[in-house]
Amino acid sequence: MKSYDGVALLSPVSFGYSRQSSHSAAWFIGRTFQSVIHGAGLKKEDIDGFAVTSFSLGSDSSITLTQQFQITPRWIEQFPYGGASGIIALRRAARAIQCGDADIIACIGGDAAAHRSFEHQASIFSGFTIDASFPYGAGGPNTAFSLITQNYMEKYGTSREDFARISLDQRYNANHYPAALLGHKTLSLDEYMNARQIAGPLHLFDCVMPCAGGEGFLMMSEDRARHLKQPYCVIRSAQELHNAHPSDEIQFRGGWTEFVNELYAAAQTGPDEIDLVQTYDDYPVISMLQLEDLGFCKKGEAGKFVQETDMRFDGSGALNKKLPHNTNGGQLSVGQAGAAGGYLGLNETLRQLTDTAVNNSVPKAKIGLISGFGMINYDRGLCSAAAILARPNI
Amino acid sequence: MTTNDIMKSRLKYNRPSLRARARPPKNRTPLGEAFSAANMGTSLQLQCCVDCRRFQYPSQEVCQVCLNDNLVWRAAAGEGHIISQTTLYNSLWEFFKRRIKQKPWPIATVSLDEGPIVFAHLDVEEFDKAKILDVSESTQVKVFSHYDCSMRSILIATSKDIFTDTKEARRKIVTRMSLSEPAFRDGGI
Repeated sequence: MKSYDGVALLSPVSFGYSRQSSHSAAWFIGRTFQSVIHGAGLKKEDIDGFAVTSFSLGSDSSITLTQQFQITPRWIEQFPYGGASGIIALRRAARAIQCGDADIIACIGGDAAAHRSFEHQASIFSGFTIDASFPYGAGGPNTAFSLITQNYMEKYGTSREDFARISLDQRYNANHYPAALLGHKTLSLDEYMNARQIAGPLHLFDCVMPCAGGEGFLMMSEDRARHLKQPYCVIRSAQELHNAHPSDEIQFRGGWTEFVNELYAAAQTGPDEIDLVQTYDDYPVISMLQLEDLGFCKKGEAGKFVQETDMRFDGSGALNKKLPHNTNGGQLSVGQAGAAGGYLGLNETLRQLTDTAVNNSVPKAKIGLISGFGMINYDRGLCSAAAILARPNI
Repeated sequence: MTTNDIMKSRLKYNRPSLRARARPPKNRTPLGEAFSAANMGTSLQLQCCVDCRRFQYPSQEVCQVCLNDNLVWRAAAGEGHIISQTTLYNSLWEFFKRRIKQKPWPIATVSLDEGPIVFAHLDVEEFDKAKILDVSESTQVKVFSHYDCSMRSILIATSKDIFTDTKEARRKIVTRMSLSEPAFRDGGI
């Protein structure tokens, strides 16, 4: 596969996170778009590529938004791939830039959260969901993840204390990330263990909180980013695979297993050299699958791995092994802004590698890995993606 | 009153939580409706590809293997094993919210010997009677279909040894699982 050389990512923006909002998705997307452009010192007219990700646009789409925002892009895209949208947007936009189809692309994810809108979205998520999973208890993604978690615990002997490690360290990180909706609260092991039961082994702090918000970034050639005198980072490698392992009865791995070697080889690095990792964390079990499949530990050993590893952004925990993980608190503590959640880890990595993280910066971070997991359809998640980003010229 | 006020007051009194009767989700795709229709009064009918002789579920427009549309409804035995099971303590839907208030709601994914993986309401009481306390991975079950009180076909997983060959026997199980009646609320509208 051709490399992603010469492409820059910059101007990460996280906008307007709120638990509930009367604004629609177009507001979150439009306002995020504005911040992304201004962040890079550009004008709306400079943007000639426009990509959107949203679950709640309704009858609108990236093309109708061009009229609302009065832009005239020569390249548009829409990525309805949930938690993998950020990395998929990155891959598509990078190719468009390399081929000259567009010069400056804005990738924006934004979702609204009106009263009871989550219930509605869960009830009409997909054909399979409508016919064959929502009528069985209507738990939304909690149901599928409860089954996956239950199976994972039985198969590998993972305990709730292991899952707690992920939620607890992420909450610490969120305490240092102002935009995190739950960042003002601390979380102790007792609180985690005694939380309200939601579905099977899942308790309150195992589940993301749906919210509204926007995430966005810009992509352009490295030359242009240098010319604009903006801090940027580059793509060492990126991969995706969808509906992987369809014959597995239940999900215990994702598509990452199939491309992990290629991913590291193209980036000329390995799991030991990664300074920070952002996994897609709507539930702790899925972060564990990613840590395993992306080579940080063996299959089934993520429970042990997280018990031995300090995952705080500043390495202030007691454990000796350090791996800054979901350094802004991830979705578990920031909130899941619909499909914009698929941009959260990417934007966080971008901030870390361009020195724009404010209170939660990872010291001396040079290479970051982001992983995306999306679209819980019926009984499993369908999209897997991962990317390795780095500071330029290292 | 302005239109806005009228809308607001209507919304206030039209919340699912205030209704006298709450029922399971009624919404289905046309393919889901076809599944419901095909299963009325029978034990279990699944989509089957005439060319591949392979069952599939949820219902789809084309065969997952050969992509032909030569699909018919055929009786399936419904025997299989549990892949994973869970108990819901929380739901987005008012019917289940009310049921869960009484008792947590058990469901499971089942791998049918005939191929498909299905979600099903789990009839835990039967396993209790048979003293199978640990309903878990690889427990053998039988899946049958029945209509709920929204008149949509749903799947029930019960113990392999339970008699489900007659309509009466199946209805008895569904009634016991409180799926055949709405969840009532005193003083609801």
